[in-house]
Amino acid sequence: MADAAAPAGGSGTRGGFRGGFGGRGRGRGRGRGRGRGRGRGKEDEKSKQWVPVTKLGRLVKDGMIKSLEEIYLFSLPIKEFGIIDDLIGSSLKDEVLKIMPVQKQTRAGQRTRFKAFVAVGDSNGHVGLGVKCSKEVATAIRGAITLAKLSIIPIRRGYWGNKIGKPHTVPCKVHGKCGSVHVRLIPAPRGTGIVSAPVPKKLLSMAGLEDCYTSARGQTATLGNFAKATFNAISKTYSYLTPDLWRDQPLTKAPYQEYTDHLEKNHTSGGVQKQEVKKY
Amino acid sequence: MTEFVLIGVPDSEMKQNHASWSTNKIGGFPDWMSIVTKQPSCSRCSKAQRFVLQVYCPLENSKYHRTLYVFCCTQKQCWSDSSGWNVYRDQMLEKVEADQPIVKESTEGESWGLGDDDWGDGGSPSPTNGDFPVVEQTCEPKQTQDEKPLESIVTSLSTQLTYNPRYIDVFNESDLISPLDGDKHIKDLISKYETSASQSKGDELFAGCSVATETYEENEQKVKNRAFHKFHKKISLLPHQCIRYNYGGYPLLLSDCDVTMSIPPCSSCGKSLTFEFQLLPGLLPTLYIDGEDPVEFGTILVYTCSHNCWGNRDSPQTGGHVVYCPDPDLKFFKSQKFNEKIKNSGV
Repeated sequence: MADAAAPAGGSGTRGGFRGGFGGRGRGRGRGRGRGRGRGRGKEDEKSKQWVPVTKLGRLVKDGMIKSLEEIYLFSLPIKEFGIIDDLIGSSLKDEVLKIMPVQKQTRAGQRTRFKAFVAVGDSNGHVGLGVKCSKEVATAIRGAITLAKLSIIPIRRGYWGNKIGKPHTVPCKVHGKCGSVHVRLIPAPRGTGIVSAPVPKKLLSMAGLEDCYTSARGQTATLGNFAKATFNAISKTYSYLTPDLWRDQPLTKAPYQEYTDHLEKNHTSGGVQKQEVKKY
Repeated sequence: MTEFVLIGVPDSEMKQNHASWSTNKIGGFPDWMSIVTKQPSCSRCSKAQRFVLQVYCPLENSKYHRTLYVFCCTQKQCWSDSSGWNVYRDQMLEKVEADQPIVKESTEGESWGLGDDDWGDGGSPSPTNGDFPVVEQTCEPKQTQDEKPLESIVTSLSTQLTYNPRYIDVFNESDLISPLDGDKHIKDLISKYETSASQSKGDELFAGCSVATETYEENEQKVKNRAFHKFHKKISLLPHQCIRYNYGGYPLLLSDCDVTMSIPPCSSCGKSLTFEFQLLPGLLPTLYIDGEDPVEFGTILVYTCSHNCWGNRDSPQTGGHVVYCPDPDLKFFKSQKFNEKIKNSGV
């Protein structure tokens, strides 16, 4: 059978088939009529499908949650990258920012591992950054892609001047810091393009920003800190309260105020001796 | 005892709701060894429970055939708590001469039947024995021991809804290799990076400019949810897995809550319970009945008596304990606005 030489696409080789539970040497040959002969091709297809582990994953797979924004609205933690793949996977592009060898001194010489920085984004308001270190380059890149998908964040875009057309730049001046690197993003007029070093340029273009001025300070040669500082800066766009978000909301009473009558009636603090106030 | 871990995966659907007590299956009706007259009922609401799965798992150095049956209540308040789940153990002394054509005890633990196992019926052979005929039987194979379906139970249970019956495939966890998918895509990324790096710098590819300043970075998600990260890593070896069998070992938990503290002793003999197997989220797609809210869990742990107490019984033992572990992020789903939104989108 071609099972031992199964293509790399099949997950979890079926070579370890055992047949039954129980102690070693027992419980074999008891699961009957398994029909492994049929649908061998079906098995490989099925194995590529994503099986959700968390409740959020199940909801996404069943189609109850249709967009990533609904997950962000309720601050639900995303723990499986299958969720992202399902929702926006088709428009997601990934790019390797840098692969660098990282060395550690051991008694037997130097141990080299590879660190991969990967940015993913759909050029329409979602971007993620992943960092992974591993002994092989391919493993590092694969792990970094997974981590980047898990760290996807929404970005708010705005206008530099007239509010004509679609938003094209950051809504206001934002800054982010990581390590010693401090990155500042400034709104730019339409048609400017992204004015920055190559690393943040890739991140910003994947985020969907068309125009932006940047200013960086610190040891920007440490690529990890530089990329993370930019990432922090663009994730702050949604936490900045701009005047157009000043919406008049009806004032509601605080619970203690609302139920003050009820509290007074039922929960008076008894047993407190009131000091007699002397009246002169 | 803890060296080997077995993984169960849902397999093809069964054509009839009944099989034998030695079949590992999900759904359908339970195949008891002894005569069972009382339908298991929930300890919270006293309604009849629904059969989830049965696992044939004889212990090493034991002369008994042993099967575990898991039941769960149909009400949401019950199945979302440990008290709505029940596990029963049924045992029968092995009759050696009757087993001869079916089981030959093999002394080497790692060889999986190089021709010495006659599995009666079966699909295509495993890769090590290529000379097995591909036979598919649709009728019940001949049983030398008494395994006829129990007529009286069938009629009483036939009015209930059950899950669609399926077989379970079993694998050794140590034989699973992690999947290597998307290799082509990664090769493309590497080549793209190579070309862009050589264009910009013109020197060798992986030139680390400041090697000393970059250090190993801990994955932030891993640090925050270490238990979930480990769980997910093990499950992703074979994502469809539904049972993880590890008699006497430790369960794979979804979050860092300490489960082992609350396990009561065996209700029949008073000795402690030991972990036997756990149900995984891969089981949930198979536990589906039209028109009902599907069962949900993070993982379900099944503990059974460490001394396997039995005595001279003729009805299934109830001494096991089931622990229900919910999804670790369940508190986020409790907000009313969210649930309304889900209901609207579902409709």
